[in-house]
Amino acid sequence: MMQTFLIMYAPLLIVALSVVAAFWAGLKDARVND
Amino acid sequence: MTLEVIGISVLWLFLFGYIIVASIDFGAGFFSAYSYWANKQHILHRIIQRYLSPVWEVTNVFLVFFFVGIVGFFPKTAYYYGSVLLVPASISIVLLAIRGSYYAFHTYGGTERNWYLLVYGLTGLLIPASLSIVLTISEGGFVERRGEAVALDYGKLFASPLSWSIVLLSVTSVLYISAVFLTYYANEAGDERARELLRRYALLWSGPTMLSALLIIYQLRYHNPEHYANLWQVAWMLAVSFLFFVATVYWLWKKQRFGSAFIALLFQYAFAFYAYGISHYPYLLYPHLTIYDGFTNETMAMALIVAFIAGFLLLIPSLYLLMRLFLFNKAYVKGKWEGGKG
Repeated sequence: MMQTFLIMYAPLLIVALSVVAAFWAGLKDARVND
Repeated sequence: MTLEVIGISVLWLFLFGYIIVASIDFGAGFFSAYSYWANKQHILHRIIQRYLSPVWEVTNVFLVFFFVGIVGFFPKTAYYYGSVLLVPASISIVLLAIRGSYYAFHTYGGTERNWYLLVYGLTGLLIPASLSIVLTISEGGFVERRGEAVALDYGKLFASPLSWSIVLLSVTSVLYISAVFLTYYANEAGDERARELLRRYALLWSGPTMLSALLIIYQLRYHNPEHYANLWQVAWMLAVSFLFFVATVYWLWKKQRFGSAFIALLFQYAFAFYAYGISHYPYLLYPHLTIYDGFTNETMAMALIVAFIAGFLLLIPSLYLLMRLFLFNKAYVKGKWEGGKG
């Protein structure tokens, strides 16, 4: 059960986190002068 | 080359055209709302509105062509996909209607409502996500035949990691394609601040896009080993696609050749999209339907091929004119000419 989760869902969760991080980083990006 | 292969090749070309044009459109809409959340609307609003105004009526032509073509060439797809996609496609159509209404009310009405902008922005992500379910279903394992009827197993679909991987790729691709194009567009307009912000967005989304593409290949190995094995037969196309991806990111990073960066992105997606399509051959729906099952009669096929090539020849000059007169007209891009007023 745990092994199935790691093989199938863990990579998905990592990519999903990278997507969330990209959304968040775009919102917080303050380097462009306003 | 058989008529079946010519037919599916023509349709795949239209689908590729839709994916690129619609991604730019959906992403631009999302960035319009996103810039509001990020308090950067004053930087992006003008450049995005100038792009969207002449384009939003054209996008769906590709999709209509594709749907008409697939049912015309392969009538059995209507039997399999028609009932299976009733809910997902209906959701897409409702979202498209919301999007269309925003354009109409926003363009022709005077008021600007923030909640409407947010809903409109979200449709830019939800429409590709709902449409991408077709690709998941085509991999097989989600459709059951019960006598004469076919049914979609929603439980299996929502629990499938492949399904969510494809949704992630559709969302990230929309944002990445759109950001790369709009970076180039802002550069053409001489809008340095918008270009810089969009370039950051493009670089930001390049990583998640590539990760989600790799994730799909990984998931295919478990979900559909036959397709996965076929994908390795055209691995060189995926490698070429990756090289074009590297070229795009390099040029964006170096802040140079934004036009070439976008062309490299087109080649990146073309190679990956055709590698996927070729490795999917001959199945339209694993394992129930191939392009050779219930292909339309020869006369109809010839008529469709001629009509589609004629349609394509009409569509390309129209798009070229649209680009010359609006999108890449220096005066229009820079906001010095509104179009149609001489």
